[in-house]
Amino acid sequence: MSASPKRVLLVEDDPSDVMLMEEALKESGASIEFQVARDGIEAMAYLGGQGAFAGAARPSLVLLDWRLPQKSGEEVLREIRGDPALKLLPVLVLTTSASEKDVRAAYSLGANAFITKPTGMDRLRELVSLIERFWLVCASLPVESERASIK
Amino acid sequence: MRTERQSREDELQTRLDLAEARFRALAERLPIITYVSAMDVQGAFTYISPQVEPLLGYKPAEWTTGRGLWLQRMDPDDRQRILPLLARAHRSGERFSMEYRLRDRAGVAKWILDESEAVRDEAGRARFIQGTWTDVTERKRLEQESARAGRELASSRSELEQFVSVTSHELKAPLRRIVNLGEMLAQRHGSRIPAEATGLLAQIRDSAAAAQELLAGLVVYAETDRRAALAPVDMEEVARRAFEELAESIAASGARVTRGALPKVWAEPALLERVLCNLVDNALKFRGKASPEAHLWAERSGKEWVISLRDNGIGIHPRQAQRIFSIFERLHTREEYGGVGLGLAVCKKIVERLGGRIWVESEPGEGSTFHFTLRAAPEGSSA
Repeated sequence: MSASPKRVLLVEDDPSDVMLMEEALKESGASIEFQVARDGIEAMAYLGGQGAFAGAARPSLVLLDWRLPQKSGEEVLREIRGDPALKLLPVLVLTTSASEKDVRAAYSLGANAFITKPTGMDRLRELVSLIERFWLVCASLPVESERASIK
Repeated sequence: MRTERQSREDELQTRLDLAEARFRALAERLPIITYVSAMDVQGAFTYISPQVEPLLGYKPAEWTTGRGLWLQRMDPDDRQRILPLLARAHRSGERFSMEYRLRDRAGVAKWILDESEAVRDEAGRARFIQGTWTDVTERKRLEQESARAGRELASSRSELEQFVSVTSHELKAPLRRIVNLGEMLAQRHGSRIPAEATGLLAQIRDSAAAAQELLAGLVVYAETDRRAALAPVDMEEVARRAFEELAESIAASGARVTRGALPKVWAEPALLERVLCNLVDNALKFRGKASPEAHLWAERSGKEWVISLRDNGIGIHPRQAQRIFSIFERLHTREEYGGVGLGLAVCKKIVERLGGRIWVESEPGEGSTFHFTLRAAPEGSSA
């Protein structure tokens, strides 16, 4: 058992989807703590530690909805990849869309994965566990060392 | 003898006159206008056939006296385009063929196809221009109309694509939430939910799932609208992939699906795979009492291949054979056979997009054989 849950930024505007993700997380027992940003602007503010998010710890991973109000997932991803302090942050696009166009756009902007939101709680639960096991247990992420070097 | 020569010349002259009269009578009855004009001076007609009058309202004499009429009646935009080309063509000895507008006496623009050539003497010097005018106004009108219709169609197509893409996304998200929230409700409060409410929850879930399936089908149907990029395709490869995709449902239904040798055809692999999947899926779905069997094979017919899938399912009455290819056409209730009635409509749309035809031969209780045609591709061509 790891000491503290890994922080994951969930960028999601729909309250039902936030609730479903929280439920799936709880059921899966994954050691994750979701920080929720309701739109693209809030997501960038969180990642930049601005305003209400001053001092907020950087997440290990971002789950990014693609169609977002204010600032789209595409714009958020472009800004993350264009920011020297954020560009290595793993970003998984998690969206309703399964369109070829969106998939191509996401990967060409440097998304680490494109995932279509599943139907069915069992599949949603499985997805959350898979994300934890693969991205937060198996994979080595650059974030920790990056943050250390910034400090 | 002088008189003899005289009479011989007279006779020649008479024959010449007769030949010219005959030629003129012919030229003047043709549905095109013939003309002769001077070299180097554009629009200076020395002859123009009388058909010009009904078309443009000016008598031949009005065209052959003053030479300003032609230029004056020509559409100004066309004038800039035509005159340099005309001069160049006649100097170089090429045949000139252009379309431009001449306004008739009432000011109405008529489209003229003007085809002319310089006539040369024995020394090869250009002496005069001989040409024809054909009235192509009606053809031009039809061309412009069809171009406009084409543009309108393209714009309504792209609007439709946009509409489908937006609505499908906007509908997909809430449907997924309905299913997931329903499950969440059942999981959290399962023990406290009365049995009747559990049944209702299941119905909500099924309805949302059906709507999701319908939506996915509609998206496929709408996306089929885009133009297919045809290339030689190895159907063996496509069928292998289609059977792989269906492996699970084939196994689940206990079906035996076989295939003969398949050819190379002109198609788009993804679209062709969709056709095969839908047809096989259809054969599995509309099964009779016996375990489903289906066989896929191809037969050459002239420049085409006829690809066929025979099944041992419930069959279709010949009266219904056309209806099954229409969108949302269901011959059975959803309780009897699942699905949203889009599979065969998608097949028809794709096959037609690939330049082929699709039809079914069947009798109730006798199974069905679906046939579709595709253009044969050379056997050596790559897939």
